[in-house]
Amino acid sequence: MLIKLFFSTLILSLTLLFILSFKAKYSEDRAQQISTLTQLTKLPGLALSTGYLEHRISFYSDDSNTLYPKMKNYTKMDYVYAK
Amino acid sequence: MLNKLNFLLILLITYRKKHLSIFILSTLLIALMSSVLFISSSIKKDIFSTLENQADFTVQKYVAGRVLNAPESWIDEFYTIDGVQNVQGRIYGTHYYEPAEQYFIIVGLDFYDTQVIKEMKTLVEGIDMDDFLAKKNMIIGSDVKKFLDEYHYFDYYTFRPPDRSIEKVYIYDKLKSSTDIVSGDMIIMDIANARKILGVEDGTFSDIILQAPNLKERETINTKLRVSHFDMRIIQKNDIQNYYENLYNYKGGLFLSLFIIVFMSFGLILFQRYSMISSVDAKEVALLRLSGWKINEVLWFKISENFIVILSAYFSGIFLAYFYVYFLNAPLLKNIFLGYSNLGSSTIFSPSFTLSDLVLIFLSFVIPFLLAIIIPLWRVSIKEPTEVMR
Repeated sequence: MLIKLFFSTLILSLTLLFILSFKAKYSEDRAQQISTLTQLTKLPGLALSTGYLEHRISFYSDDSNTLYPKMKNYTKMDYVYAK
Repeated sequence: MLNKLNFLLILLITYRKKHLSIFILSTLLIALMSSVLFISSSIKKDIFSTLENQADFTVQKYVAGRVLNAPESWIDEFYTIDGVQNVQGRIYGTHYYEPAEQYFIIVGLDFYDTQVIKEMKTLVEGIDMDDFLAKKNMIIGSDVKKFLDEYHYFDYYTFRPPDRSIEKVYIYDKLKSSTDIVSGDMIIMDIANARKILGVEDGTFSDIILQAPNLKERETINTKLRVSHFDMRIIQKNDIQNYYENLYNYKGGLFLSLFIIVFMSFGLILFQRYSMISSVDAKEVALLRLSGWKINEVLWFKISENFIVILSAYFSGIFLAYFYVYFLNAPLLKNIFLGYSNLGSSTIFSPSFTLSDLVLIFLSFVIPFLLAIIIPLWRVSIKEPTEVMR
């Protein structure tokens, strides 16, 4: 029984290893293609299946309130620019 | 040692019906939980890979809560800010197909730019730029292709721009389905066509992007941009990153909290079941004790018996989830993460999970499971064996 168990586990493990290595190779190519596409379009995010207009851009935090800008600490670079 | 292992296997086979029900239920629960973690992790990986190529700042003309087209003059203006590089105007927008209430995203690219040509050639095999630019052509995402085929637009699609003209654009090719997660709803065409279809006048852009390679300068650049115009919205790269991170952490977290409830109920059921330990189980423990086994030996033996069942369920569940998410591409469950109200998403997920994900599943399931079983068994094993046998 132990021998049977050992061999069945071995065969299963080898099959799994083969599947995983195949999928890993495929996902590398895919990541490369996605990277090229986003470099071209410069559009962030995913093609979500939603009906929102401008769904790729409308969610982001609105930084446009110039009357009450966020308090910001001075940094060294502020003095560089001030000169 | 081998004798004990053999005895363990014989016991497992003898009581296979009892173990099978627990095995199936546990496998399904682990598979469901792992699937959610795998989908969430895979989507996050794709999002962050798309964000790597994003501009550091996106600037929009923003008036009275509406996004308007940004003037081209801003590009020269932004170049005067120290530390700013690669200022570009983008042309993109959504096209609404009213009869089916579906949206496409149109992206205009400058096909006379050598870098664009080079990258397009890697994306679309065998693209001939002269042929592409000879007439109004477009390259579409595979979900758009499926949709247009369904509505019998096999070779071309007719857009109706705001100036009431008719723009017939031919389908040149489709993007590979492996990039569907970003290109499913995308239509790529020449920038001049996109301008006309989206109604973006000459001298304006949908928005303007710019790079600020020096991290230390970004806050100052942000301030300078902010004070340069008051009708402006500035979106920084990390705003986008934070948004997506929060979105998928929220969705994944929601599921995890639901699973904790399910696991607790499952543990409770198991505890109940083993609290009312059957006479067969009790006699089995008593027999082992009578044949000279110590309490800790009996407990370790019982832990091993159940551990084999739950470990098999754990690995089967993980394997099932892996197959479901990365080979079948998570039908039904992916809609919760990607939405389902627009074009059908034929996304392919790429394997992405960390060891900590697997450890999390193991700890949240296997440990409570073993505890729920072992406490009632311990109660029986400390009783006098002869009393239990009677």
